[in-house]
Amino acid sequence: MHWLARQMLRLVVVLFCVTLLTFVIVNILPGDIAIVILGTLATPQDIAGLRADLGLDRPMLVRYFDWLGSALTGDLGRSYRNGEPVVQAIVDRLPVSLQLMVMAQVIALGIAIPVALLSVRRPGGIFDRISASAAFGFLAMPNFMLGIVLIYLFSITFDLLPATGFSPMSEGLWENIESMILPSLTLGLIEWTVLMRVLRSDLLTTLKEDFILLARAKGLPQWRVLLQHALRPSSFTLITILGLNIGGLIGGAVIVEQIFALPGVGRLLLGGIFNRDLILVQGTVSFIAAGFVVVNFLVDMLYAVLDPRVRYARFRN
Amino acid sequence: MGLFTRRFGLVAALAVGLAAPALAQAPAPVRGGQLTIGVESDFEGFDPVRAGVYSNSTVTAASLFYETLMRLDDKGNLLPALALSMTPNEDGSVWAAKIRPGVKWHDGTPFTAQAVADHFNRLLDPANRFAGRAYLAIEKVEAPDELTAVFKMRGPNAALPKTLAQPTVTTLIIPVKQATEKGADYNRNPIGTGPFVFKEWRAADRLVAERNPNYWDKDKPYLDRVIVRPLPDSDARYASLVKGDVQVIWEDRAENIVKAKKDRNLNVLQWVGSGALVIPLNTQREPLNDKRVRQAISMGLNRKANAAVLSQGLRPVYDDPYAPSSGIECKDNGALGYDPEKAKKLLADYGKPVKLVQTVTATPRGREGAQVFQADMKKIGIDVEIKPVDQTQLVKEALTRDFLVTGWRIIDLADVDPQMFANFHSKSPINFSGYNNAEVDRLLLIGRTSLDENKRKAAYCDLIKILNDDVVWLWSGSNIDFAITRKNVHGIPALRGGAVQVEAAWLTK
Repeated sequence: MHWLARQMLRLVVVLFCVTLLTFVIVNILPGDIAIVILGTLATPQDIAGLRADLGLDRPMLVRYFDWLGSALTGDLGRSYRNGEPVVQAIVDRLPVSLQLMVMAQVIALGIAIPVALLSVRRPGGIFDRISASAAFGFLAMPNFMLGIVLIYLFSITFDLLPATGFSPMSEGLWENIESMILPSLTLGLIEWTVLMRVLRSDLLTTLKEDFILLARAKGLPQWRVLLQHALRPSSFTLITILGLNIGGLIGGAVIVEQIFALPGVGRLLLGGIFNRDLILVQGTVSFIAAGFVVVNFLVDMLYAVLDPRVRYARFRN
Repeated sequence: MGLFTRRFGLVAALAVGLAAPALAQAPAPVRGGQLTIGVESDFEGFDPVRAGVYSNSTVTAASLFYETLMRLDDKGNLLPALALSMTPNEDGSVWAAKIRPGVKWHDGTPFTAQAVADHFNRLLDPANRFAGRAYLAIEKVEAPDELTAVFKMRGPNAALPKTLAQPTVTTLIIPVKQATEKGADYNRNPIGTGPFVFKEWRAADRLVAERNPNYWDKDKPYLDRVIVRPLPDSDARYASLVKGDVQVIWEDRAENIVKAKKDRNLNVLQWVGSGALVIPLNTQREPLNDKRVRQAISMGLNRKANAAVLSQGLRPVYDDPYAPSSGIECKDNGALGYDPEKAKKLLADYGKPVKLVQTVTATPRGREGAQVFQADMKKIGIDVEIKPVDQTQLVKEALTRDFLVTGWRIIDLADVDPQMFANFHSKSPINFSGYNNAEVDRLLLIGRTSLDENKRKAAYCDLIKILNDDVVWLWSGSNIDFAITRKNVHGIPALRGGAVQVEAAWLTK
């Protein structure tokens, strides 16, 4: 349990650093929420008055610790722009972002694992070379461009899916999934490339191990060797990358939510940045950072589940 | 009138009820249906004090629920709305609005003159810090009886009825009692007198409104339901229209507008409003405090060629900030014209090297505009350094006159007085060019106070001659707004201020 306590402590320290850093960065951004709210005709007196009302005339550190105190009680403040509680704004939009990221991850893994397995059957073969080229092609493509291409292809040309917008589950399961296919594909089609290359590389290493030789010597068919013996020990780097890629996925979600007009956390953040709604940006970034740290913490835990050696080492220490 | 397509012009004219025999054969509006509008941004909320400013997306949504006292047809003529008429006293310092009887808020309470007074007095109260009050020139509003609202102005004012007729954050009337009682909740749950009733607002996703069955204009609205969806990416917005997910979009991307004009399934609505995109010069700072330098800049700037490049030829350029929609047409506006050789001579006469810093927004649009300015100035021997800053920083620098050259916009208003007065009167707190000219002040006062429309127009023409000769601001392009609709959408009026209003819109199959 020592290991768990250490991890928890690390989590707290990381979150403190992230929130402080975010607060500093957000506060040194040029721009002024008072001007955003009051408009171009505001008098300097009105601007100063509104800044005082919002508490923005106090020193940065005082404001940070005020915010931190409230955040610890679950109150991330209210949007300067429209008075909406930040926690409420995040909670309302979180399901959309989570669904987007989960579906993107499923699509990415759904492509990456079979392609990697097929590639290592004949390394350097035609399939391996084509899949590598395709991976690099997708990797090089910016997601805002891929999103538009997918819209033109699947919405306009083939008229299969809606171009933009989100349908909640309350409007029907298929309507909901239908509205998320193109956004998830946009993220997933870029995400799978790294996963596939990492898994392929680890599979090739694993396939040189003695136990694989033994399995083959026993006469097991190739697919059983790959699926039952090689895949699990080759998936550690994949899992690490999955955890670390959450950051990239969140970054991608910000753009994809904007293109497809999805009411998610990414779009909330972007709106907050454009409007210099510092408290909203602070709350959203802190929430995302906490999510990122927690996911990676869980990934760390997953090693122990997958590999008894890790489990043993942790509990022995 | 704006440059509407011919067909749209016909439909819109019919929809606003203009009596014109030539239009008699236009199809009659059809009742029913759902219209989805794609706009650029999410809505700030519907309490002007809380929201502060409205984007054109918010005005589009707010016009579903709220109304103005008067309205404008596409030619700029005043029509009754919540007020049946507005009558001035002898010198225009007091205006009496006769309120339409029988109008009710969506919650069933009657709409009275007191509601009008409460709305405007709330905005005028300095404690509420509503910045738009600077435009209004209203001292206070009183309600001597249920159906008369009396506007007491800070001085004679001819522009009030038209100023109150264009839907803006200031002029769309909200119920103060309900707004105050509900606080922040009201901002997200609007109640108005308008043609549609609020149903649902899913932030960043959609706003849903349904037909107001108790609307005072019994024939309208024609639509049963309107959905407004914020679609921030212009390509995706356009794709949604082509796919048919939405039936109307506001659009500003030239490529999409050019494409839409060639698409048989789409109509492009176009409105050139008053005001302009402008390049203000700080006349109080060296070297711009020398008229020769300012004139050289004006003559060295190929505004028409630049606007053609930047907008693919869609944005007209005028030599004044009036545009045909303002109704002010000047035979001689004193424009200096493009003459780089003469500009060089003026600079030679000035005798010192000229270096400028142009403060622009750190956006592709801001940078592009600055780059063409920089290139033109280089040709006449002026060095321009581009300083990209955040938009709010630009505003701050402009208001504190901490700039040499910047970028700005005179917004599209039905009457040019509020903007012209604010920008060029020597006593105006937002005259950020620091321009001080007694004759200009005199002409601005005529424009503001004279009840004789011809006298006002003449004053504005005299004014522009001085401003063009003195080169205070450069007019770099007109205010132009576009909306693209599916072919079956009819009855959308002029896109004043970029807002899409659908009170009279209707659909064919």
